[in-house]
Formats: sequence, C-alpha cells, structure tokens
Amino acid sequence: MSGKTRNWILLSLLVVFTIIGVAALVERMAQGLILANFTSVLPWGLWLSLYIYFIGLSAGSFLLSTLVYVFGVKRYEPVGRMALFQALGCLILGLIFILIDLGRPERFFRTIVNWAPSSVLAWEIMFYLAYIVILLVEMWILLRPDLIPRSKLLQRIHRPRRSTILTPKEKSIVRILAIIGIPVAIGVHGGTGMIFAVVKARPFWHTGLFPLIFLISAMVSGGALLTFLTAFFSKIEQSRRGQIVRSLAKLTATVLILDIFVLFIEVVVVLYGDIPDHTHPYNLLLAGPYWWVFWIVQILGGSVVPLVIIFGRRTSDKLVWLGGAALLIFLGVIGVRLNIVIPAQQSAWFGGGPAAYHFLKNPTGYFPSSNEWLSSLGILTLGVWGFWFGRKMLPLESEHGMAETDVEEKDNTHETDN
Amino acid sequence: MSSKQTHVNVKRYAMVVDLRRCIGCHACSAACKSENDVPLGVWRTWVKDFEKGTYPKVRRDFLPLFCNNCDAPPCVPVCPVGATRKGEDGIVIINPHKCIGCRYCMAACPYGMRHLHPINNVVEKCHWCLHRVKAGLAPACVDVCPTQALHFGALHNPTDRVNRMLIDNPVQTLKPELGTSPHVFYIGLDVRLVEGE
Repeated sequence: MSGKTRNWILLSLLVVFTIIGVAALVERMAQGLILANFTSVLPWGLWLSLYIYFIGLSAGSFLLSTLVYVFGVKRYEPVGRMALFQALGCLILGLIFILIDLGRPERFFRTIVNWAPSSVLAWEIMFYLAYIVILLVEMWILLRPDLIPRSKLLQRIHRPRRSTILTPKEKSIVRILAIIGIPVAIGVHGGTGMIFAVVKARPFWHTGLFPLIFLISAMVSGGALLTFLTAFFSKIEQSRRGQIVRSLAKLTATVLILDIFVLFIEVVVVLYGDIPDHTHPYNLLLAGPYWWVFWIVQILGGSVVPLVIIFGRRTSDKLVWLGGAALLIFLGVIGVRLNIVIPAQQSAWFGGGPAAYHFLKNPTGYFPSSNEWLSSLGILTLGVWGFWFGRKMLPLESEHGMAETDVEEKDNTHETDN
Repeated sequence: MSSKQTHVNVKRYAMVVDLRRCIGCHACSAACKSENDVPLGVWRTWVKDFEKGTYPKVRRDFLPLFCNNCDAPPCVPVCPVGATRKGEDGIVIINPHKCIGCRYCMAACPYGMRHLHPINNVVEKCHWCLHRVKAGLAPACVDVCPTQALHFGALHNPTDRVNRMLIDNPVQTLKPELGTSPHVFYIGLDVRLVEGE
C-alpha cells in the first residue's frame, strides 16, 4: 500500500469518526445527562476523567515550554512552539469535556457571573481564564514574525515588520509571560487536583498528595505527547530531531518514575493504615472489576514497557521506538485519570455500605454509556483536526526563537545548554 | 453530641429517627416521591435494610436515610456558582435556576443524599419538605410514618418534642467524625448498619 492510499484511508476514517462523534455530541446536547451512565452515588465518569486528562496535558506541555522561554534550554528551542500549541489545544479540549459534562452547559457563564470564592472549582475557572489569555498572547508574540509574511490578511491589518526575528523587547515579554504562566499552570492543574483533594466525603481523594500527583502526571503526559509528536510528525531534520526526542523521552521517563514513586507512597500508607473507608477504594483499584485499568493500562502499558524501551540498550536511540514508548505513556495517563475518578466513587460508603443503594440499578458499577464513548470520540477527532490545521496554518516549527538574535544585537539569554 | 444547644433566636430544625420503631415499610420513600415529584430512577430518601445473625437466630434492621442538613454542610462551599446554600432555618437548599449541573456537590456529600434530576439536569436534594415546614407542617415522610419512628421539630423551641427526645435518649448521627454536625439524630443506631459489609 502506498503512502498516499494510506493517507486517504486514515483521512476517511477520521471523517467517519468525526461525523459519528459530532452526532453523539448533538444527541447529548439535545437529551441531556440521561444518556450518561452516572448514578447518584457515582456522579463523575468518563467525561470528567478526560477533562482532567486534557487539562493535565495542557499544564504539562506549558511547563515544558517554559524550559525554553524561561530557563533558556536551547536544546528544546525547536519544539517550544509546539509545546505551547499543545497547551492551548489540550486546554480547549479539556474545557469542551467539562462543558458537556455539565448538566446545564448553557449556564456555563454563571461560573463567572455568580462566582463563588468558597469553591475550588470557581477558582479554577479564573485560573483557566488567566491561563488562556497568557497562552494566546505568548503564542501571538512568538508566532507573529513568522505569521505576518504568510498571511495576506495580517499584512493588511498589521503594520509591516522589518525582520522575522523577535526583538529584545518581544523576547522579554515572552519571558515575563512564561514566568507568570508557571504559577498559573501549576494553579491550573494543581488546582484541578485540589478539586478532588478537598472532598472529605471520598477518603481516596482527601489527601494532600493529590495536587502533587496531578502535577507530576501532568508533566508526564505533556512530555509524552510532545515526544510522540516530535518523533512522528515533526519536520525538524533527522539528527536534531533524534537528539530532541531522546532527551525529551529521558526527561519524561524520569518524571514518570517520580510519579510511580509518589503513587507507591500513597498506596503503602493507605494499605498499612487499613482504615476501611480508605482501603476499600484502593482494593477496588488494585483488585476490583477494573483491576486491568490499573495493572494493564497504567502500570504495564503506561509505565513498565515504555520505561524498558526508553532505558533499554537496543531501543534507547531509535526514534520509532521512543515515539512508540511516548505514545504508550500518553495513553497510560488516561488510565491514571480514570483510576483517580472512578474507584473513589465506586466505594460508596455513605451511611452503610453499597447495600444502602439496593433500589438503584447498579449504583456503583459504572461503565460509560455508548453516548459517553462516542461523544468523547467526537471531541478527540476535533482535537485531531485542530492539530492538523494548526500544523498546516501556523509556523509551529520555525527556527526563529528566543535564542536567535539580529547580528548587531547581543544575546543576553544564558546559554548553559547546547 | 446528644443534645444540640441552639440559641432560641436562631431557627434550627432537627429530625429524630427512633430506629426501634422502624418496620422498613418504605412509606417515607414513597411519600417523599409523591410530595416532591421526584422522578423515576432517583430518590431523595430511602431505607437501608440489613440482615443480622445466622438462621435461626436472625433479625432484619432498617435505616431510613434523609438529608442530614448539616450545620457544616460539605456540599455547600464546593458549589462554583453559589447555587446551594444553608437557609435561615438551617436547611440546605438548591436554587434550580442557578445550578449548572456540575455535580461537585454530589461528589462532596458524605451521605450521597443528592441526585441529578434526569430531565432538568440540575441537582436536587431532600430539604425536609421546606414548603411544608414553612406552612407549619412536618415533612411528608414524618407525617406518613405509620409507627411514628420519624419525628421532626424545632430545636429553637424549647418546648418542642424533639428537644425532649434528644435529652431523654442516647442518640447517634451518621459519620460524626467528619465534623459536619448532621441534624438527623438516630435512636438505637446499630454499628453494623453504618459499617460497610
């Protein structure tokens, strides 16, 4: 099969998935949450899991981009814009997921109009707004020099630029925005962890480690996505790309080990304490009906196999293997998110154990409904389209960046890395 | 814990459930459904039953569950739009016109007492039939209980019967360790009913 036929097959598959997914989204908007398999006991499901997954991807990607724009790591310069684009795209996908998760999506503006400062979720909305502004401005300033020569429309409305290189003033604006962005991104995803951590009704979530776990796994997923995209979809020349992918994969793997370590601490403390309310969700996580989401998706597929590939002697310098390992980590974090959201709610300990809900049909045995799956698929295809168009229309892989300067002006960024 | 000290000028209602009298007839659940138009598939109040012992020495115990209308309700501060709040009479209510249906309050309630209205897509809960209380009536579940296991009254009224019951009987609340200060008090609550199995 030639590459062209393969591309056509992939494209038509994408179109079919998009049509199905968008139809499911329309159905969900028309009929409401009755299509989802939530129960009174288990109110948060697949959509919410994917929401925290994409918000995490976004925050992780942004924090990676600060390596370039704040810490001046020259090696990652060629993928800095991609990381920012990823951050923006994943944030939008995450917000779409939380939007369709709302019972009344048309009332989303109330989170701003009726802002209630006692709620972590309300603060999160503020963080998302600040974050999206920072992302847009930062990307605009970074892409503008390359974007103007490309676009007739921009040439008409924007005053002409002398060169495609960032001026020192623009560089310092980008740097300041990225510096402000660090606490905001930590607020965006650490705060998403706080949404869960403050819920004392679910002992599984009610731990100070949770925001930390969220942040670390956000770094893991963001790094994995950037590694994967750079390995397979980048136009950077081969040797340079290999260098970046190897370095990114090692970085991601190191953070992944930290992630597993923190999870290990939590599991040991909980199982050692053996308080029933607290142990029960962990029993469900480790040996419940969805044991495979933990052991197969999160541990084996999402951690062990990729770590073996990334650190293995034969595979650690092969681009395809590293990209595949990154894809595995990236997918494994979906398991991490599901494991955060679902088992904690399956252990319904309210006033007397699961038997208290005998009248509800399967109160804690959640499995996403067909509409939940298909509308999620629809949003994911929107993400693929966004990536495709973004890559086509935006100068995401230009060589112009922070490190480059006009001949006459001196470079004042610290160059510790080459 | 046993007797709630309340200032006379602050309104505070309470429910006292005498579990020694409960026969598990589910009349309270049915009355609630009809009084509040609770849709199919969701419940605002229900009765948990539990079998103790092994044959032939067996017994079946019941635990009717209502919203505890806590003094420190964990469901209230988490609402991102301030749609739910504790009213002046200490009863936690939801503004159905403000609720965005994010279900954070459902996740945050330690008693699982909230539900999503399957048609309106907003969260609803037991509010001790506030419309009846305001009219000087007891909640529908209390009125309908055939064995008078359920009692409802005003803590702020020293002569109210619930104050006498709270003084005379050792009472227990659900999950007191969470510090939510629930206002449904149970007489004769068995540890096996509240522990999971």
